[in-house]
Amino acid sequence: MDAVLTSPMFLPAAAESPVAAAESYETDSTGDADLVARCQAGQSQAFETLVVRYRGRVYAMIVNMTGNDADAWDLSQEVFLKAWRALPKFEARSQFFTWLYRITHNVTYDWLRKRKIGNGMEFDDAMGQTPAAGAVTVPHHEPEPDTRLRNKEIGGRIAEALKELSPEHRSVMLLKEVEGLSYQEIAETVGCTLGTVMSRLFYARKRLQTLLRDVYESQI
Amino acid sequence: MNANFPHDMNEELMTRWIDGQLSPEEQVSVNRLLAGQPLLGREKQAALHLGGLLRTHLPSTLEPPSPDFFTSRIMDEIRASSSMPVAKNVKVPAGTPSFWSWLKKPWFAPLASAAAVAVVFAALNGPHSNPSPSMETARIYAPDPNVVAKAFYSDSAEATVIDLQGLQPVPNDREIRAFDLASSEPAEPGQPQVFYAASAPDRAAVVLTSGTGQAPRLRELP
Amino acid sequence: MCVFDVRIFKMKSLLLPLLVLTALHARPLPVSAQEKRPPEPSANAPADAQVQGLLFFAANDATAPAQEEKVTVDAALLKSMDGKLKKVFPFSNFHLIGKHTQKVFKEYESWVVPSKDLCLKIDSRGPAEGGGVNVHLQLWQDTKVLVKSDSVIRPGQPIFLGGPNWRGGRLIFVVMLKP
Repeated sequence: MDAVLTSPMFLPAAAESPVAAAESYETDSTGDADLVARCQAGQSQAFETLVVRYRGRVYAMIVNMTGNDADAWDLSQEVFLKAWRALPKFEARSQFFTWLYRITHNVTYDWLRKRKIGNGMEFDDAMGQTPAAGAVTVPHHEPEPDTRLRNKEIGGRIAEALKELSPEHRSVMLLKEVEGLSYQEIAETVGCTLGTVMSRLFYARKRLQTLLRDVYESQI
Repeated sequence: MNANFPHDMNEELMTRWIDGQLSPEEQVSVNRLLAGQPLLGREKQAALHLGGLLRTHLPSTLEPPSPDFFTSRIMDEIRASSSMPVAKNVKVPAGTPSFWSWLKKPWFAPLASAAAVAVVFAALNGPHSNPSPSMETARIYAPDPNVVAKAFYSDSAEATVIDLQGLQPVPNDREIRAFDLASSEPAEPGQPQVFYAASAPDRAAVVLTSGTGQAPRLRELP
Repeated sequence: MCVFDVRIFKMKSLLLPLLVLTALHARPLPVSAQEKRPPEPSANAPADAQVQGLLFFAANDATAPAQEEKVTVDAALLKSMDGKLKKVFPFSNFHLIGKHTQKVFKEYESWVVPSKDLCLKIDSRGPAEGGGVNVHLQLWQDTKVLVKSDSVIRPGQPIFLGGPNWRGGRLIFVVMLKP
């Protein structure tokens, strides 16, 4: 009998496992600091735990920034490999995930710059596509079909509006509103001052409010 | 609904006002400035609603497709490079994790899933089957979300099969340019690689150039 | 498509031998000169395996597509492969249209190019337990990567990659260890 494995979720049992696994990570008692210390001592298994713990957040951030699922996979890989190489220099002055977000931001920003995606620049057709088949959002829920359609429309509008922002404004907006980072954490992540973070947030919000006015006014 | 903000309020102050990050003193003075300007109150509500909209429709966590493959590729690269510069004066937390703590480990769930799959395979193939090592190791990822890729090991053909469905067909009017090439020495990174004809080992037939992560460019030689 | 590569770091360990080789073989030749140069008689870099990439056009039509270049392959191998392919893909004819035999080198990207339209990038991950070689594969069609895979190529056990449809049939890429 031939055994069949299917991609993207090529292990049949894995179809449900990412959500369950993501939830179990939160109860994992091993803190980031301990895992980082083990990594710095050369224990690559500890890094595997960090990859599993943060791959979803890194991948989501890159998908939101680039709107390009296929490249997001490779870029996320690049983030973790860069993190591994840079770990010896990590001094735990900031939290691991903030530091990882900074690498994520740099990798994504470089990619966007190379692709010249941004405000007023050429834009990739892939932007605003729905997540790749097999990508599982957390939390996972199944809304009604008409709600799903409406959500998809709104999601598409948001993705379209985000691509109208410059990468600098887009990343600050996503880090604040989606990731829930503080001004200080955002400043560390993108490498700018607190004042610049607030200023970028101000203008990004104004621009998005203009672009998405009909969407949220219909809901207020 | 964009309102004009008072000149005394700069972008920083406005942002902290929207996010509820003002100090009590600042709050008092901002309240004074905004008194009698209900449009600004609506502006704040709109900004907060916008944040909610983003949180609802953009994922903060999204498992990458083929998450196990995602992780194993990284770990393979790390182990292949095998030169982690170890930081100095690092204290490694001691202690062997107990069995129960293993259950909580992040790798336990995927490992358990993989083990469960292996058990299912064993059950389906029966006690006399001789599972091929290839079956366990073909891990695949198709970047195009429209493509469904399946990997399986065919016992009858003794072959690993990676089947790609949903690919754009090659147009019928297009000719497939195929070659018969012999082995060539590797090129240094960034340098073009020259392939020679199998039938005439001194005849350069094809030049391939590719950068890291870039598509190959093939040039056929006359 | 952006794919990371740490090979440049691995290359450091090869720097000295490369410098020696460079000195022995004089300066790297420009492409035009390289094109005239015959292949090196022996492998200068350590090879993990020698693989054969075969491109088949699977169809129910017995007429093979017209090809500019005639592809030659061992008849017994062709017969064996025909039998294997028939057990997997629902076609009655498997026309071999392209072939490339290539050593797979450690530390280098290896390309198997039986066709301008479909080619395979192979990164060797070293010998596999129980025989064969661990590889990372990327199947490319023009500028697009169709699939990535971590696989093992074992002796006598080819990997079939079912590619795009064409002219009522299908293009199938086969990669195997060269006997």
